[in-house]
Amino acid sequence: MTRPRAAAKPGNRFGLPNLGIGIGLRSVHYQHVLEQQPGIDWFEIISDNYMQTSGRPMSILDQIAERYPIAMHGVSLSIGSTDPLNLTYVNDLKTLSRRCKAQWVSDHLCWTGVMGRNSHDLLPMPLTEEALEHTAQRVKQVQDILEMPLMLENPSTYVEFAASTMTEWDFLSALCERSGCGLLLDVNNIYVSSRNHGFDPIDYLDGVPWDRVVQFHVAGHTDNGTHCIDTHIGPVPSPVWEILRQAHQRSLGAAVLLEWDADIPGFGVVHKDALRARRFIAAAKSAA
Amino acid sequence: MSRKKTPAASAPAPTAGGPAEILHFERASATPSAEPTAQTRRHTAAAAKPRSSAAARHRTARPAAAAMAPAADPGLGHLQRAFHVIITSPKRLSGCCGEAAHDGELLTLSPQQLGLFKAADNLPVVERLEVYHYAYKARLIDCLADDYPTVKHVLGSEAFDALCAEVIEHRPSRGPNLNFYGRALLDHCREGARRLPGHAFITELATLEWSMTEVFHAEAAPTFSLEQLRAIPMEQWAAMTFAPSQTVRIHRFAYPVNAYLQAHRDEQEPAVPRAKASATAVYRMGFKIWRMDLTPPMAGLLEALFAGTALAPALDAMGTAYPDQPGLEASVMTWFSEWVRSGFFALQIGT
Repeated sequence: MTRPRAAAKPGNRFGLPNLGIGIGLRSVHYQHVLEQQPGIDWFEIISDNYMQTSGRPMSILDQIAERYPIAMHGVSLSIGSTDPLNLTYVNDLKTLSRRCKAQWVSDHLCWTGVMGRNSHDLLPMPLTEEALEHTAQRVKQVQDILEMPLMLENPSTYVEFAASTMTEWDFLSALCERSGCGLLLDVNNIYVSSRNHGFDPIDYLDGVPWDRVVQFHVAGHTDNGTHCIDTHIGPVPSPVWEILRQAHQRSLGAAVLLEWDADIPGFGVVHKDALRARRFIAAAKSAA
Repeated sequence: MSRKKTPAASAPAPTAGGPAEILHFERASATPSAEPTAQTRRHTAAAAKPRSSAAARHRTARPAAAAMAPAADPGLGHLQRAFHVIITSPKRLSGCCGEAAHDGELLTLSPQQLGLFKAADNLPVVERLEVYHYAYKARLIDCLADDYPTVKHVLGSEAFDALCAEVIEHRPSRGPNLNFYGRALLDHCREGARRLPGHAFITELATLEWSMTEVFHAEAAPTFSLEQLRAIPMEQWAAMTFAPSQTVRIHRFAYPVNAYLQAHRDEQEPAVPRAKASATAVYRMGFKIWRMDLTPPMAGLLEALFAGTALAPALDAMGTAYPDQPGLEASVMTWFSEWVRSGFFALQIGT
């Protein structure tokens, strides 16, 4: 990971702001956030946790959205599935985005089910021309409903299809071009997938259309030796921070968000780990 | 945890406690780790070994590349269906399970199936697929365990996981949101899981726990207030009807399931009770879930009112049903006060 970086395009990020350093809002931290109103730049919510519910989560989100910028991150859009697009779900996303004044709405380059059944997992796409065109058409449909660009995140993957004819970064670049979508670049997922499939993360970074990257994810993972699993557990490991440094150098400023979803510690611990990003962002700026 | 009780001896006594007070199942984009389970202890062992360890890489037989089917593009829909069938199989994937299993319990992937995926040196295809196969079931079991903590306690982890596996196989999730997947376990108990030990009790316990999840998510529309109750002229009472709030459920049980659930929450380690009729209201006030035991006359009156019966005929029916309890009507105002205070009635009254 020491090769010279490719020339970056000037970043415009659709004119969207760099929100700074945030963390994923999780219910174990609700009370702390409401009572202490910590000085944090922004929160990302898992959209699905606030859909089809009229109870406490919505009320808490309303209060937090009054004080902090919010971005929505979903797990059920299933943008790559060959099942029909769930328009009710997309419209519910739009309603929620209006309610919490979301800065942007994101989901994953994946599919979650087929034949009417939902696995609730982020399943890998075959990286083929057919899948690219299929996904691009659906992204356009979603964006027409949302009336804003959709941001798609690169997932962690554990298997590749023999039919794939292009790299994931080439697929994402072409998808951005054809559909007009943006990218949420998860640098932990780049690391996990690079370990699982044996590519160089720098090749990935060199292939990304940086003017479309509005946000980064960092997170911990589980290293099983033979492969890594995207568990969002523990502090962000050093190799992931290093990829963030290299990525941030190319992006010239996109928001950073820490995801921590297993054995979640207190808010202060999570926030402190997220703020470690400052060091790598500063290093990226000085190198740029 | 009990709210201050109404002085009248015949008043209902509410108890707090529901999913609003615990970490409710929360979606995330993370992948459940296979590490903690017996099924995937092998991965834990692998993590402790050097990455170059041949033993770590080749402990399970991997089909030779020549044995795999040619990798012609079978099309997106075919690939997704084939992948989904593998990862949602109730059988364990052959070639990556550390423990012996009967042939009927193993899914052996064909060369055609394996040929859909790229082979790689660091991890066999079947072990890669096992990451998804494990996560599929683990995620749904976590969801069900979150909705049914007391059912899980009664059954024990192993039997609960087996029940969940049945539910997942026969009633797979079909919606984008997991908030309501728990309904599948209750439906399975009611209709399918007859071999379950203590089936009748477990089903009623599941009914009670699922009600708490339902009212947790229910829309809290404006409810009828005590002030509005007191403002009703006496002459209008007889013909009044009361619509139920969406945040209340009334249940009659053959077992004292609410008492059991509360004893479990109080860490009293209760024994599974013998059959004894009970009735319980589950409801939400603000964002807190409450449970209220009801006497048979209370339950009957609420059921009649919620079914649209006007107050006078509902009271008449109660008097007829319980002729050995004279004076019940004198308690009704106390009951109503508690029920109205608890938000049982939606603000759409009629006469």
